Amino acid sequence: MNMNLELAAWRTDWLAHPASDDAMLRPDLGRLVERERRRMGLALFGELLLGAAMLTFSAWFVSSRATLEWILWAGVIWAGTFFAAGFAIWNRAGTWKALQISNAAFLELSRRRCLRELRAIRLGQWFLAVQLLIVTAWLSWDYAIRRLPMGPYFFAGALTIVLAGIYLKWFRHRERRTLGDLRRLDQFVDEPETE
Amino acid sequence: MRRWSLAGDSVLNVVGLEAMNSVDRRALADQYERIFAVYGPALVRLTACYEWLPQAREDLLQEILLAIWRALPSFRGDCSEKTFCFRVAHNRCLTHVWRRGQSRESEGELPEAPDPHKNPETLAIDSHRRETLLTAIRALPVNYRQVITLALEDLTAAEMATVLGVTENNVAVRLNRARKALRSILEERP
Repeated sequence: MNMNLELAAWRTDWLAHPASDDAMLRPDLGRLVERERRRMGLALFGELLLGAAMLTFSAWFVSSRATLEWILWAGVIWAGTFFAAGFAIWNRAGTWKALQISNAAFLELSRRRCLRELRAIRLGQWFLAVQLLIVTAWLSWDYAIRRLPMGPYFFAGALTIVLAGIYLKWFRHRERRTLGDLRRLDQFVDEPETE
Repeated sequence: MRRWSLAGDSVLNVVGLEAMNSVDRRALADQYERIFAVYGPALVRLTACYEWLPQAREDLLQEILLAIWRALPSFRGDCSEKTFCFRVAHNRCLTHVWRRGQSRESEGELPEAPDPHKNPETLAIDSHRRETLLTAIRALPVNYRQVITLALEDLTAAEMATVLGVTENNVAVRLNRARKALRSILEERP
């Protein structure tokens, strides 16, 4: 069959598909937009709250124990919090998804978002390793100078390992999911365009 | 077909468009109404190619309409309303397929509305042919599915190139491959 006739025949069948009333039910756009805005607001609020809580708590704690050790501890928390916030802002720059861009540009942007996500995950793992190192050194030092008894030392050590394990598992889960996303995206674009 | 319209001015407020004057807001709402009236049926057909389950298809349609509504204020007329609409819709469908992965795909049916002017036998044949075509399109890889649905909606090569972000030559190559693939699937499923 002639290619144009074939396409025309398919088009006739295609356009004859009834657009049903059920599928065209009027959505409450206000509710959908509000739900999306609330979800984004909650995520942002959660991040801000966590950062503010860490900064406030460390400042309050060190104000009542102004020794070099606690000042150093608070300094590490403040530096870590600001570093993480700065990294998050820098890492998210230029990844806002505008849906009206072309399909190819949208795929490229989605890919970039996945790569940024992977970068954040890897930095998170390094950050966790540094935190573990600091906590372990600190606990061991306290134990060595006999400021921390054996029971609490091992308990704190075990708790640190368990929490680190949970974080690591979460990082691995995110990494696997993001790599899967990347693979699926590549399936959409992996097509030589010449014939 | 039920007429689509905005849920009210509250929508304009919640998306942060309060700063627009009432004339701009009304113009935006009118533009949205017009887009839905013209392209609504095409969007319904498009969602049928990406989502098999009726409830999920309805959700996808809502997401597309929401995306169009949110993107409208930034639409500067650098392309036609038609290509703008299809760009948003196809990107949203792509995100849908991407997030879902291939594991949840299942077969479903488009709801049918009987045409009173045709006899039952003709109706059955037409319906079978339409379903076969839809099933075959669903079986295509996503990049072929995109180009074939755009062609079936009668977009020109230039319009398809604008939607997909590729050259017209690439559109021609991709469409040719998509047609071959679709023909081959249809021949396997008479």
